[in-house]
Amino acid sequence: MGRKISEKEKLEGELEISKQANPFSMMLNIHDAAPATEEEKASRIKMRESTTYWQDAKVRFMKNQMALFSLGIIAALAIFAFVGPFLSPYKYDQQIRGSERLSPCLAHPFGTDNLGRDLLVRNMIGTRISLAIGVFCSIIVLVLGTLVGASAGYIGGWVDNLVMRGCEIIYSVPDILIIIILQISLKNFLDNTFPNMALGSAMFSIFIAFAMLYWVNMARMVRGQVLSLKEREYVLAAKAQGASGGWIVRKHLLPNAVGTIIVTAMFQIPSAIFTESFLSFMGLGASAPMASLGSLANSALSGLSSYPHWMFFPAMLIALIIFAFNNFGDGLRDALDPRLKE
Amino acid sequence: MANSLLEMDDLRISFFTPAGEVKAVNGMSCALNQGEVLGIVGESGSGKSVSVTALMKLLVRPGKVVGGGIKFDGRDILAMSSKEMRGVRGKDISMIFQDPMTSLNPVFTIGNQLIETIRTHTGMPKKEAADRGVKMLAQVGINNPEKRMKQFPHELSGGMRQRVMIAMALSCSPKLLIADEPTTSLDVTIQAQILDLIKKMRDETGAAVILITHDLGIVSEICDRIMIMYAGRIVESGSVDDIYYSTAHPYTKGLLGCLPGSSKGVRAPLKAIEGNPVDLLDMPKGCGFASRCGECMKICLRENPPSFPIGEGHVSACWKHVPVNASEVRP
Amino acid sequence: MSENGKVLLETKDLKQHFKVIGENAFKKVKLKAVDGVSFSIRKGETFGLVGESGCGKSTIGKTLLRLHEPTSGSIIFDGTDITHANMKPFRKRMQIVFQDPYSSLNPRMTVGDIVGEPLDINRAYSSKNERREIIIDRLNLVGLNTEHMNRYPHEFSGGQRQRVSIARALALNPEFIVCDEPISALDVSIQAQVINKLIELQHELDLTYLFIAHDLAVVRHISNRVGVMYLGRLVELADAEELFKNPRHPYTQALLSVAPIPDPKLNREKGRILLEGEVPSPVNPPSGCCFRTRCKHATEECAQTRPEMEEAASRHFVSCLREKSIPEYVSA
Repeated sequence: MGRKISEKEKLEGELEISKQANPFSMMLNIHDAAPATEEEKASRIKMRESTTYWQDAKVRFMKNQMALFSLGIIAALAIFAFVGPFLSPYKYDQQIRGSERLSPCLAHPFGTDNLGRDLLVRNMIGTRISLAIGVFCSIIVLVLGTLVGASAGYIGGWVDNLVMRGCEIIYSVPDILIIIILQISLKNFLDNTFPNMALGSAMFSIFIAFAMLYWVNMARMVRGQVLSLKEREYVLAAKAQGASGGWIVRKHLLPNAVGTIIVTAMFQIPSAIFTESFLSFMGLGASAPMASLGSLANSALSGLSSYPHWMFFPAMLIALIIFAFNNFGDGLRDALDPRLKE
Repeated sequence: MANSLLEMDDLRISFFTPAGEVKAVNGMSCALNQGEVLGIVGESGSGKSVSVTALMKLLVRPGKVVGGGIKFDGRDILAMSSKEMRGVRGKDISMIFQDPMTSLNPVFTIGNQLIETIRTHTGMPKKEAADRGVKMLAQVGINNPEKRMKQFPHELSGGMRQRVMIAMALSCSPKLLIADEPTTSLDVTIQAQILDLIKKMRDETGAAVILITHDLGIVSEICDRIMIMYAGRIVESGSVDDIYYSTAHPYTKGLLGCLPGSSKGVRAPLKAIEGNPVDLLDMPKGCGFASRCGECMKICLRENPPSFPIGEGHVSACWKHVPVNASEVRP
Repeated sequence: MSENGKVLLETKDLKQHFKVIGENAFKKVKLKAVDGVSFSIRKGETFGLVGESGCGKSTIGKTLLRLHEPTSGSIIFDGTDITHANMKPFRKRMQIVFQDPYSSLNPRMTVGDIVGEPLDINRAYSSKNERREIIIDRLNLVGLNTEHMNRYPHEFSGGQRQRVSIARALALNPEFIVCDEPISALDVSIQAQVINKLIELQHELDLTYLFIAHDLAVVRHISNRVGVMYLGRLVELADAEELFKNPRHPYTQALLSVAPIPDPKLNREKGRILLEGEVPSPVNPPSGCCFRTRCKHATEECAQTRPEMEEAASRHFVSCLREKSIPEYVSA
């Protein structure tokens, strides 16, 4: 019994305390006991501000300082690459006689190379090529991968089997080797069909190689998403309403997979840039006089001990680009698909 | 009667989410005696599970105890170090969860996990622990326990896994067993077996039991005392008979009233509690239930009611139950 | 409702077998989710289907709407055999409300678009304005309002989401709705709201329901007739009151006896029939009567012969060989 009494005492003690703390809290009068009106009750129910998925994502992204910083770097790099060359008094292939092998100075902040070309503008052009390759490749990957992945996942059965086996085959082939072979075999064909291509046939075959090889990852991601999404009851509900397969994919599956798709495409950019730089460094990318960050680094090799800044700038730019895109992708992933984190 | 086994005093728990502070438990006080079966009933978001998570010190970020105290067996749980707590968890207090599949490790055999639990807390030699494990499994009604010891969790059915969980929870003779919705994922016929088992184990071991559930049918079957929670507060607590036959709080009345039953007339409208659960992120002042309450008064919108005693061990947090003398003293 | 009303939907010996990967990972085995079920639902009535998880009750609901292709047997809707028919014209007339109010609404669509989706799919409006009017009308029917139209599902509580789900099912003015455990995932205080709403809508719109649930009290409250399922088969079928007062199949009796009632005194008094063991696997169901492995009354014969549904009393069908010798159930 002791417990019950003590509980009661405790309660009364509590009342006492609340009376002391707020002398009005126990002032019950007739008015207080009057029934509350419906309006008074209803006024307590507030619906929260309506937020869409994109607004939510934006709020989450804006809180991520690292990602914001990276976005800033990307923007700065884009200006550097696309606006910069117009502001420069020199052209990327302009050889200035008498100013060969200059160290960084006021006229040439990045210095000049052994042919007297301004390295600042060449680095700008190189960054432009890297960014363009990254963005174009990821667009190709996005379109191709989404189409293939979504149809494989949705149709299922033997189609799915076929596509996935195909993916595995592509996966197991060494990609650098394929790119090199493609480049060499496509070179003639491209040179003949598009003789005046500014980028050069090598660049173009990089695009093609990327498109052929790197959609696999995207297709796998999208397929996985679609497979899990198509078991959701809202998809079943749409089927019960007579929706066609196309409708379900367009209205239900893709909109819910869009976060994953964007994030995967985003991570594709730095990997494409890295591969391109690597190929150019090996001498398989941009052909002279066109400059890419990789080929700039390559040509810096010959004078590495005397002119280390030739190597420093393109290498730093590559690192910066990849760092920024990776971080930005991380931020996007956390914002668009919080569940994917870890 | 000796001191109570467990005492919670004005426990407050908040979750600090990006959207703001969610007050999950908002001043919860209760006491539990040895051998007692306490039912905590509430809907999702009422704070019933969170409160025992705090009691086990298993609350993870962004959840945080922001006030109040928990005393178990005379010891202050909140002040314990995590090392001390590990000694208490599983030995003095054990817990079983809603989904036994996620609380068993899929890569170890049942026996392996059972023996490990026993050895951690008693330091028994392996052989002895294994014998005890087999005995525990037999005690919870598992046929052929030696064979089960060698099986993996996925080889057992849901009901069987929950039995294993109970065996594991009771293997070190805890003083308190917490069962968090132990039968929600099970079928009625299996649920009946498990509830029977919990009752039997209580009688045999004398452990106190806290049963957390949303089902008023289950608590009426096995509990001695019941606490009804709403929006992080205990709105009514009392003996089983108090709650079912002298129902005081409008929310409890509403809960009992909205259950379909044989006496209520087929297809007649049920007395539903209108409205939706309160938004814990933006709790209005006053009583959390006010906007859904049919007997809501002006004061309910302004002040949160404290708990008023209305009978032996029967307490209700509703302004309707203000002791008469209190309102007379201050008109 | 009407004892001799028109039959709206009928199934004859419906079977739904799935191929699943069995214990041997290289060989697919047959899972008999629904194994020969026949019943009929009259216009305007609520047919309740109860049973434990895995008994095939949800599968029946989805098979009726041809969300699964039935393995054998037939489904007849309003006089037409739809077992293999083109479902397009019937989609508008038959709808479904799902259990989980979280996964049944597309999180990227507004509530207005969710309710409007069936209209879009079936081009059931002539102008944007008409579409909007229909959506608002359906939202009002379920107790939501215009202001909710532009909000997203995550802004609603479970009960409100389930209302949206019902509004979507009502969009095309269906005659028949499968309610697949529509309240199991909801809080107790919200369940009653949804049950009331469903009954109210049935009166107002002259709907026919197949109500699938595992909660006996709820099924008893809402149904006119009730079928009890065990391991893919119907074991008992009768008018709701008759079934709950005079359950004749040993499984129904056990199910009723262990269902917790929110009344401590009744609980202490009532005699419980505790079933031993667990439900056998539908991949490898017992021979003869599927319930015999857990049945106290089972004999040698039960293992040999599969019992058929027989009318044990007026409009009360039981599938048990030993029905005559099973003691009467004293309900609490």
